[in-house]
Formats: sequence, structure tokens, C-alpha cells
Amino acid sequence: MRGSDSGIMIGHNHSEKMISMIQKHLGRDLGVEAKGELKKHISECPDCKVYVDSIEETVKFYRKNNAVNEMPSGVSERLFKVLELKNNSTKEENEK
Amino acid sequence: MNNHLDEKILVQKALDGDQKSMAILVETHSDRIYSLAIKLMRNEEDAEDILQETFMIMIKKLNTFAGKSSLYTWLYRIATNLALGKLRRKKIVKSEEDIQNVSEASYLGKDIQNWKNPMEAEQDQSVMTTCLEHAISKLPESYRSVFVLRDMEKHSTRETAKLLAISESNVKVRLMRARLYMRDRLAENMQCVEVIQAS
Repeated sequence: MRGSDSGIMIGHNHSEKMISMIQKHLGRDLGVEAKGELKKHISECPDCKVYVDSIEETVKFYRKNNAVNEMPSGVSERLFKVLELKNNSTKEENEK
Repeated sequence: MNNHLDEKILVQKALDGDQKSMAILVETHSDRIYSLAIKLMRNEEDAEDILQETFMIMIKKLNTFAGKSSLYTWLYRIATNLALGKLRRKKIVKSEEDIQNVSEASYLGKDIQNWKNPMEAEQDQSVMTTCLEHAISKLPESYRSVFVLRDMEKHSTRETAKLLAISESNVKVRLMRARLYMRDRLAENMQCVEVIQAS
């Protein structure tokens, strides 16, 4: 592994097996035995720790902030009109 | 609607011509279908088109709904296919090259030592949502669809592959690249927000 003067890593000479294990771990596809091996590696490799932590925190972040987008005003009304159905809900009427 | 049985009854009534039951089915699922469409399309007008087309197909083809999955799953597949078709026609492939460069060989992404944890940022929900939406909008379509289905909608690798008609290994590669891309964009966006708020 090589590092620049600023401390930013510019290369990461890990085996394909290890990279694949990390991807599987992040995809929740890693078996128990391999998990132990990966855990050991991460505890000894700061770069992999930052990598795994940062991806996991990012996934947590967007899952936490992934709200159901509410339909803007009028969308439901237009939908029912196109479908030629009567909206049973009073939601649209209340918006008026 | 509380359970599968209620849904089955409503579907049967709708098939028998009961307009009120059909309207209940539309009303029950329209919010979630719109939410999925806006995540994939990143555009209100296109999302509304997908919403309308999805339910037009539902009304027309409800007799082909076998009831093996929930109605939502069926509608979800219709909406996803419509959205992906529309995206393909629009040929939204911007910055595809940027993300392709994030390969296993450079899997750390860039500047990870300077990476900021978005969970630690003390921002209100609307700022967080804006950051997230901005980051997603920058994802090229082929990665965005995998990312939305796999990470946001929580489909399995197999389900995502099936929905997108691509291989499971392709899903994994695209997901890995999309996550790296999202991680870096979110970190950048957080910094932008801090600058805007400070000015």
C-alpha cells in the first residue's frame, strides 16, 4: 500500500479475495466463517476500516432519510380524473 | 387495507366492475408508487406520467393479476419497468464515465481520509433530504436504478437482478460503484450545505 505526503492513500494492494469479501459483507452476503476472517483483517487495516465504516454509515444515512415522497398537490386529483374514477378520499377536497 | 384477504376481495370486486373498490386500490397504492417513480425519474412530471400509466395498466390488466404476490409488488414491477423504459428512451447517461472509473482496483474511492460521516452532521431533516436527493440525481441511470431498488427499496440482489433483467454479479458491481459514488457525493454535499449556511 502506498500513501501520499498528505496522508491520502493512493493505492490499496489487497487480494481480490479480500475485496470480494468486503463487498459481500456490505451486501450482507458473507458467511459466518468468512466474517471472522474479515473482522480480523479490518481490525488490523485502518484503510479497510474507514472504507467499510464509511460505506455502512452512508447506507444508514440514506435509509434513515429515505422518506416516502408525498405527492404534490393536484397529482392525485389528476390521477383519478385520467382513470375516470371518483376519489373516495377527502384529502384532495381538504387541500382546496 | 389490513391484509391480503381484504386486498383479494377488493381486487375481485374491482374486476366485477365496482368502481369504488377500484378507487380504493388506486388510493391505497398511489403514494408509494409515486414515491418510487420520483426516486427513479428525479422529475415530477415524469413521475406523474409513470403513476398514471401504472394505474391505467392496472385497470386494463387487473384480470391478469394472479394474486401470487401482493398487488403492490405487481404494481411495483409495472412502475419500475415503465420508469426504466422511459429513462432508456431519454438516454440519461450523463457522467457514466466518472462512476465507471470507480472499480475494484480503486475501491477506496477518493479522499477517504477526509470523508465526513453524514450521520454526525447536525442538520435538519429537510437539509438532509435535499442533500440525499441531490446526490441521487447525480447518479447515472443504470446505477441509480440498482441503488434505489437494492439499497433504498431493500430488494435482494436476486430480486433486483430480476426486475432490471441483468445478472446478479452486474447488480453487485453497480451497487458497489453506486455506494462509493453516493458516499463521496454526500460528503461533498454536506460541505456545500455548511458553506451555504455559513454565508
